[in-house]
Amino acid sequence: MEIQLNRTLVIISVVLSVFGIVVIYSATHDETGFGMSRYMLQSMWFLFGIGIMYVTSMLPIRFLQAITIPVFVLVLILLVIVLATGTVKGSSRWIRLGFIGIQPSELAKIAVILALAQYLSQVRTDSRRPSVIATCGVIVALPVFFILSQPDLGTSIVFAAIFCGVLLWAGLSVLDLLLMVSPLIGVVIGVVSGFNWIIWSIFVVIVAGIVYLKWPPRFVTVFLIVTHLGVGLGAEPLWDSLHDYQQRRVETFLNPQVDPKGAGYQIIQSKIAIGSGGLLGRGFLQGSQTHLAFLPEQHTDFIFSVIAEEFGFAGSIGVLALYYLLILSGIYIAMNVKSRYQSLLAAGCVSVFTIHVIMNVGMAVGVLPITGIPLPFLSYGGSFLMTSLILCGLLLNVWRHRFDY
Amino acid sequence: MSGGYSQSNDPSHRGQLYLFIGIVTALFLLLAVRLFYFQVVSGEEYRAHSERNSIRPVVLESLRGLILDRNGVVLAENRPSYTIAAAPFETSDETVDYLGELTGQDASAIRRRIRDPSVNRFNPIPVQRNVSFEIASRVEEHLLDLPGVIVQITPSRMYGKGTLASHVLGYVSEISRQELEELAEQGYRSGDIIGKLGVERAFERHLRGQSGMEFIEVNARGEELGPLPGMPVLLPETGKDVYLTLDTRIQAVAEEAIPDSLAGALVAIDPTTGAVIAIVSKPGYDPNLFTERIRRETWDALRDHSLKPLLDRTRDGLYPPASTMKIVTAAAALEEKLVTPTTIFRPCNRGYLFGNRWAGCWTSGHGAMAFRDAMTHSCDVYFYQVGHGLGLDRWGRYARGFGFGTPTGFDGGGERGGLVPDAEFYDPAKNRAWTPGKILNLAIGQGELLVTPLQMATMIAAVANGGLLYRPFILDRVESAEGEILESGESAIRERLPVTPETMRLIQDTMIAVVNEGTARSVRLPYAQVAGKTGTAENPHGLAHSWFVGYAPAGLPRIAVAAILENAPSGAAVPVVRRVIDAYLSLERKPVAGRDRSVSGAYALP
Repeated sequence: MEIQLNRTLVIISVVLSVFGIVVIYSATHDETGFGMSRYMLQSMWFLFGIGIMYVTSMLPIRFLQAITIPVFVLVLILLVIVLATGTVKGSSRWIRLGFIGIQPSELAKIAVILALAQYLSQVRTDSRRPSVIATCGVIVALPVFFILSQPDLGTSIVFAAIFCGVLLWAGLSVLDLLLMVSPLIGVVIGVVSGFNWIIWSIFVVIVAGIVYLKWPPRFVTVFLIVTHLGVGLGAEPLWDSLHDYQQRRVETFLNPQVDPKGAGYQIIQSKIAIGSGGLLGRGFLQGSQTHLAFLPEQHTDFIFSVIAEEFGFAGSIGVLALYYLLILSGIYIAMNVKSRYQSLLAAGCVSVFTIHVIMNVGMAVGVLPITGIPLPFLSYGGSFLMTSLILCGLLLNVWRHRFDY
Repeated sequence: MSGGYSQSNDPSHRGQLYLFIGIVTALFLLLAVRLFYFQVVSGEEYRAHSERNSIRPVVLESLRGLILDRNGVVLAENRPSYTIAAAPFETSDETVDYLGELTGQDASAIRRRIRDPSVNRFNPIPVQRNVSFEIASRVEEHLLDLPGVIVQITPSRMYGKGTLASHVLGYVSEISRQELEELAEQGYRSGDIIGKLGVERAFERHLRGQSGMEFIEVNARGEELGPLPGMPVLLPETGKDVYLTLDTRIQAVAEEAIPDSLAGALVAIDPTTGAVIAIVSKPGYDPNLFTERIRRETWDALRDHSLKPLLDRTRDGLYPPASTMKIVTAAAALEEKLVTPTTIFRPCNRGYLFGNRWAGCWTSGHGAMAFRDAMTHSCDVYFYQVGHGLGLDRWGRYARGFGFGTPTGFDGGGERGGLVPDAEFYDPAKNRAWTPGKILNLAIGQGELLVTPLQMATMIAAVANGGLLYRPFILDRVESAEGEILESGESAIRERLPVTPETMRLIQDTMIAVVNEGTARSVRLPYAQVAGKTGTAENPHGLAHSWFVGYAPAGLPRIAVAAILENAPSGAAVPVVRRVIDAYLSLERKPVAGRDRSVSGAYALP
């Protein structure tokens, strides 16, 4: 059976993007004082992005492999430039090229996927070896290090998802991944529980249980014992030695909702908007006048709430279904291509889509913290729309070359 | 499906991938269930909320911290007042016109304010503060015809002591456009109240507090239905209380001592710490006037008043120090071994011929005098000759060493640095040519030399304590509403006077002589030795200004005072200072009970 996956992917991305433009129009059409309307700008980005997506899907695999290292280096350079020129005051994530601004951190997502796929497909040894995992960690950590000059939970989660998704595909098990990040989880548990050693001990016992069941290489076991002991003994004194404002910054990083006036307010507004959409919604252009206009980021981070209010449960579940179809298609592609490189590439793309959708919708319905992660194709913003379309282009590319080895 | 790379030789890994698919599917299902619950199950409830009602986020203004003196006497507090506010998003232009009609305010001014692109369109912003009960109730009655408009009860600043300490307290008023741009990141919004001058401005960050927010449900007709269920009210945080080193009783005595018909300034400092005990600029004004939007006529009257009440003379008033400068000139001469206590120069014969120019003395001729008598009787001729001997550079070094020419570093608001001219200042290109005769004038505190009364007070405090030039400070402590001390004012030494202890003692002795036998006999107190120096500043625009700087008790000084009365006869400032010193030393003998944690502890010495 030949599945028309390429057509499916193109239709999903176009439908979502166009729907995004429509909703952006609804969310911002009564704004004044902007040179060009947001929906017009988004439309231009979309037309441009469709072209880029097509080109990406046609590129030879060899070409992708050849540009991986240059792109990775270029991204690092751009990130350093952003860091150096960024003002203390505003967003330091942008580089301005004439009238358009690009976000190197978006480009970094693509670069990291390319680099991980390249590296893991060329490694001859078992990809579960600690040295291989460590190298992957460095590939991800390099750009993240520059992006995180300001702590940003959202971006770090996306990169962590790429890392985990690609390694999972490369052969690691879910438990392996859990063990790897367990010391970090230990730190978070410590800070959140106020260094309650009983809670932390329970956590360590669970980790020890997994270690006993898995019986990983001795190196890993030693690593885990050392890091967990280090965390257990060192975290609290280290925490106490931080200044108040540093502690607050970490707390805000772990739980952005501690700023109730900002985030808590948005969540309430978002919930009411979603709830008032009902089964079929209030209708196009009917939602923003009432509640959604309260949402400062309605056209970017909270666009899902606009959809849910104006198009109801039918609209929101439809959008979710499209994303689910997109992700399943991606997984199907990753599982059914011949070359390991392409499979890993697809896995990286799927990871980005998955984490963005889950985090964003989870935030809008109030089950996950506000992290400022946009919704693929739908959210306003040229850079991320471009990233989404390029990732989709990569999936198409992989599918087109599925019989290559 | 057998073409994939990863599954063929590792079935357990394939299982992992299915696990991954399972996790993703579960997460999507979770979101879908959540959406179903929100939109379908309880959708009706939310819908009912939103169908007719909208939510209005209303800012709850914080109570500004109190300003108190060292003994806990309240100088600035809050009272409830009516504020009319409008939510820009809900308020139509017709509503604005009608509101203007009801309140008697210019509708275009209201419109300008709420149509400002920088304001949050959904928060009601204040359009008129401190409205009368009549106007507030008139608007309240017509609220149904004024969708988007609300009447709030907000805190308003009140200065219970009226004009007392008005200049140093400063005042609060609505934030200006420029301030808003500068402070946007600190969460200020249009219509907010902010400290504009003095302590109110200098300690704004402590006093301000943190505004809260309440979410009010409003129906389609603009009627408030009450707080949104399930949404907590974010209560505003009260600002911190600021305790000043000021002693209201002494401040009041000082303000009373300067006659209302005169302009003048007085600064009293604790010479052991630099804490400001009283700081007076007369005439004062009522800072309450600025809390409301000030009326044009009131403002014009204040601005055009002949005695310039808006000018803070203690910190922005620049005067020649006149003969009080002889303290510095004398110290320089002793230090530079130009004179000894017994040195006699050419006699004073109502003046002195310098080159071919006649330099007059202030009185009918002192004759030949030694250093001590010349100081006691403030003989200009003696100090002309001292100044000539010192030269501009050496004299200037000492003048700056005594704190002149630079701001004192006062913590309670801005100040001017005054002017100690140097060789560069006398630039013929700027129409200020140097002539050797200029140093004669500078040596007796005239000419281009300009100082502030605050600088004078820190100088005389340094002389009193034996040579430590303190940074004057007015912040005693910052307390939370619960009484926890969050910050304490700190005594800090700017520098040491550039003189030896011997010189210092000689200067102090002559200042005692000035009081006991010289020009300041009217400052004497029966129970404590006062030391001081008078001055009479020539004023090209009218009557001279009268200076007096002094401290007491001479052996163990606890208060140092500098005072100036504009356009007043020579010596007029002396009794003013006497009253302040007398009041303060009398207080010490019966200290206020129960206040121990403050710099006021410093004056409870035996």
